[in-house]
Amino acid sequence: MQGWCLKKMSDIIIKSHCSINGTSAVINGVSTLFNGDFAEGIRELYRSNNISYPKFFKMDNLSKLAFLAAELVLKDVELPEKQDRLKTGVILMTSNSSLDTDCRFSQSINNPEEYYPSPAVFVYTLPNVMAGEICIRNSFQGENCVYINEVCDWEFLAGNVRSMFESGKLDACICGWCDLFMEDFNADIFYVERCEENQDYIPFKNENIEKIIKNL
Amino acid sequence: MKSVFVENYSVLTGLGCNVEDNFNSILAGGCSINTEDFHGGKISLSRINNDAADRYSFKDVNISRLEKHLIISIEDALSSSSVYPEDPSTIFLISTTKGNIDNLDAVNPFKTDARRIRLHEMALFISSYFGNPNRPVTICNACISGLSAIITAKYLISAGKFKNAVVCGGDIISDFVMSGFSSLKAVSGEPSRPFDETRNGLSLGEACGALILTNENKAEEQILVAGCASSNDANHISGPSRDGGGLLLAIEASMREASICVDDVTSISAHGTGTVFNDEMESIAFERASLSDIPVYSLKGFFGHTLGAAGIIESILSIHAMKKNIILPSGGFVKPGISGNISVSAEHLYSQNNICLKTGSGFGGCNAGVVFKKNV
Repeated sequence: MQGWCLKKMSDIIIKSHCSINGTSAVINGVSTLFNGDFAEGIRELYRSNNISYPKFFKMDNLSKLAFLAAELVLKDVELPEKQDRLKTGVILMTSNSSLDTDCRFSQSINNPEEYYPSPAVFVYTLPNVMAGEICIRNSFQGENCVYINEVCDWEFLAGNVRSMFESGKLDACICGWCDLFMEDFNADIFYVERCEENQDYIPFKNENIEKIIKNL
Repeated sequence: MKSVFVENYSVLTGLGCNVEDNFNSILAGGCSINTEDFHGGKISLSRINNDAADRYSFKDVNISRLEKHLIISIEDALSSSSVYPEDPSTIFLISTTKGNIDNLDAVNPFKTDARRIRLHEMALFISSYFGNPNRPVTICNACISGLSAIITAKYLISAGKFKNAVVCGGDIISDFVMSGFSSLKAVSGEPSRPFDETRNGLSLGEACGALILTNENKAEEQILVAGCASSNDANHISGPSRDGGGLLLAIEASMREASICVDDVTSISAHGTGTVFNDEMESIAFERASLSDIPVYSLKGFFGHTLGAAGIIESILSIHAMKKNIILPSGGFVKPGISGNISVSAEHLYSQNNICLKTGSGFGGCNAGVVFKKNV
């Protein structure tokens, strides 16, 4: 993801992008097919990208989607040392929140004869747990928030993230959209960071975000 | 960057239906947590006096309990405010963890329109009720949701995107949430006792609060949202970190943004759920932040853990205490049972209270700190 223009050190740049939906997974413009239903397709992506993280299989589907999108967006990114990730944030937006797992948990308590609320399911009935999973995997300790909206409001999201860079709270950030309800899912995740000297990357601006997610 | 001032607020809890009632009840050591038939503190709308009940004639018969609470608290905050909800430069922010989740409960007489189980649909219903022309911001960030909403409102106002924000938080006690926390064995059999040596879990509570923020300094002595930050433990999705490192990051970053040092802080409104590990973690973080001598309290022993409302209502009551130069007591506290060296008091104190640090921590490993500062 190079070659759009030469930037100054004060700029925030898009280092990497990944999208996943029911038909394809795209990492920085390179597309692979998403085969089968969510469970099959996400498992195949996990295996074909040589990810080894047993906790993945305990996650709910929303967290699996967010986790995998983050794994792929960071695939070719060289992260700073762990102690330098205190200002790497995760700011996400979703539409269905944790409703997919909420319904599952609800079924486990609504029938008095089969009343068995599972703590392992309940902990995933909050959408920001997906941000937590990404933080745990990558030792990211910066700003954290999950917003709910019908569609991804990039202007709001990017403006918010930019202001956190400007106020010195962030040096890098995973940000974007991650939504799932049953077999309806899609993720559009960026990894953005503060520009280092004379890097040749894409500025984190609304018009560039739009170009990338529309694959122009 | 524009300054962000607190303009007005309202609180609805099991203790009372306005700020003064809640405040006085806290000073008198009141507790709305019922542990006889269920373990939590519920809002009883019948406690709202008849005048108020007449005012709230809801046209939408399918309105949910939470929606009713949200509307009542926003209406209360707006009634003595100079901010107009219809103003295009006013934005609504709604903080909730589970919204209308009682729609999924097997038995519920207050089922709402099925679409409004989606949080953004519920938020839009609320902002539209008040005639606000903007798409509301909906925040669902576990138990720091309320603080995240204040942080987001501060960004929107200081960046000049909006002049005013109506920041509202609410959650209700549902079978869903009660059975979930019970399954985690996190619910105390008695009203919760944050930071106390006998504490053995949290009590759930339901509440709503509305906080009106603005960029206009309308009074001589105003409270500013001076600094804020969030962080993640990067440790565990449901257990607090052992060393308080994540919370420490949020505390330090919020104080840096407010340009204050530890000696400036006059009170700390902690998260203090009453679980063994949460309170332990917080005590360590406060000590590591060199805040051992600053009075710290949790309000959850009075009305329980109110989830998406907690950050909002606990901030509001702490702001109210700043205005009165009172430092609030810590509900249910008798004797310290944490390893971090901190100053918790069961009694309220009359003392200059110019800077309050509000903190929160939640599932997913998230933490937040917000600094409220008196503009003197």
